[in-house]
Amino acid sequence: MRTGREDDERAQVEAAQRDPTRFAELYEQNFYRIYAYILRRVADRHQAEDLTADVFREALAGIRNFEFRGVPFAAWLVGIASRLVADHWKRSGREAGSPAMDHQAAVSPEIERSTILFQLVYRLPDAQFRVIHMRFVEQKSIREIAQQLGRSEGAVKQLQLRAIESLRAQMEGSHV
Amino acid sequence: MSDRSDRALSEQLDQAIDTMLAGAAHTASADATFAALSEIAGTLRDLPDARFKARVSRELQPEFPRRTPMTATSIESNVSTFAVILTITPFVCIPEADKLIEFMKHTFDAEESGRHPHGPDGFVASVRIGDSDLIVMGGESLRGTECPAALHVYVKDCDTTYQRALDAGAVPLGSAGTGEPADRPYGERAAFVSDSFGNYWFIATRFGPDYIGIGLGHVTPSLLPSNTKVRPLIDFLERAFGARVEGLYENAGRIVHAFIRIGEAMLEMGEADETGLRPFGFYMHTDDVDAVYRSAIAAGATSILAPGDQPFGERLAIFQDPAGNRWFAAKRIVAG
Repeated sequence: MRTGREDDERAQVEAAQRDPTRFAELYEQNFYRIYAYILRRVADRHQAEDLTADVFREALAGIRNFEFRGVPFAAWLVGIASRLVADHWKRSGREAGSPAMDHQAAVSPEIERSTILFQLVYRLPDAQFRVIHMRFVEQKSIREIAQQLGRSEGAVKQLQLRAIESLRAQMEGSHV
Repeated sequence: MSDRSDRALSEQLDQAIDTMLAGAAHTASADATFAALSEIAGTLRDLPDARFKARVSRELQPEFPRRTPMTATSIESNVSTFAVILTITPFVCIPEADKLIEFMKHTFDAEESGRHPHGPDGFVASVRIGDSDLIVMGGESLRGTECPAALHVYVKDCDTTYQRALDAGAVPLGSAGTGEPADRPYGERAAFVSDSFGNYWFIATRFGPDYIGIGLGHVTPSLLPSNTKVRPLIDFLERAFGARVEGLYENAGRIVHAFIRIGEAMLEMGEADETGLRPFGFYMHTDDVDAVYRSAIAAGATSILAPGDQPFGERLAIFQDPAGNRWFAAKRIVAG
């Protein structure tokens, strides 16, 4: 028996197969999972970004060929990611040292936890989101963020604390 | 938690984050609260770049389809697939909202019809100019995330209102007097000013029996995308909301002005001549927030907040269009 979630996903995939503009919904739902999967298998953010973009480009190009065979759409994306990561390591001449390529890793609790956390970050109040993004992604110092936002350094640290406390509370509520 | 221990925790956590960002593993601690926060921070080191995510999203959008002239039939069939959009209201967010409302009262005889607290130090106010509503959000917590507006306001006497705007601190836009009141070739006497808070005001008196443009209200919100975003933004509005272009003025192949109808609402669009101009905010009242959100995401919007019931009695979704404007799609879910 299929669940409502599976039915929703099937409907979204079929919509994207008919009209590629609908692929955006699948991208939104799977971006963080694929990025988290790849980031654990490559050396840095830039490689992870390049490969993540490649996964979705390839998925969009091949969406009409996708068929449901008892696995979620995300597993198909992870299959593409796994192959592209393997190709990446081969090109780097480091095949022997490449991480495991099993698709099951895509649904590991660790990756699911990262996926949910990243989604929650983007729902933070705007000021908190900006502080978290500047601190962790842009790797700016508290002083630089304070100058950019026109706030005191103490206020920025408080925003950072509130954001992380909020994320922690929501993560505990999500039972992952 | 006391202010002192709160400050101590924020300092301790920040030091741990500094250490993590320098490449160390997240800090072990016997304090369960700190350990949990530190673990979250450790995972945040892998947070993807929002700009990258948006860039790929845009790249994955198929070529914008060439628009074909819309016949009455195609308009009907197009509109019927979209949720009903009842109103689109400019949503202005600036810390000094109190002063902005005073400016609007002084210049345009605006009336504040309601005000509610919002956040630790802010408020949301409903302001009316003539027959048109605006939402103004204020408070220090908005600093750094301001969202101004560009508004076309019809008044009985352009010159008098222009002078009132200057008296209240506004300055003319453009150089060499181009913002001062003048008869414009499109049938209006108009002046262009910027207030002290970064909002643009296009003050106009229509020639003819009525000083308001045909089919418009006292206030028409404007979109001012950068020149490379004009066409993509129109395409987005058409695909996301079933928008209809009702007037299009092109010069040398570039769209310099357009009227765009979305449901019952009318927007204007011009081309920004300032690269630093910030995008605007729009509050959209609809009968189906989820449908609007789905349609917008499918048309290339970036999600900021997925649809959800909010404690203030609305179902709300927030997303950003390809030109960076923020849209707040909302439906009232409880009486009030």
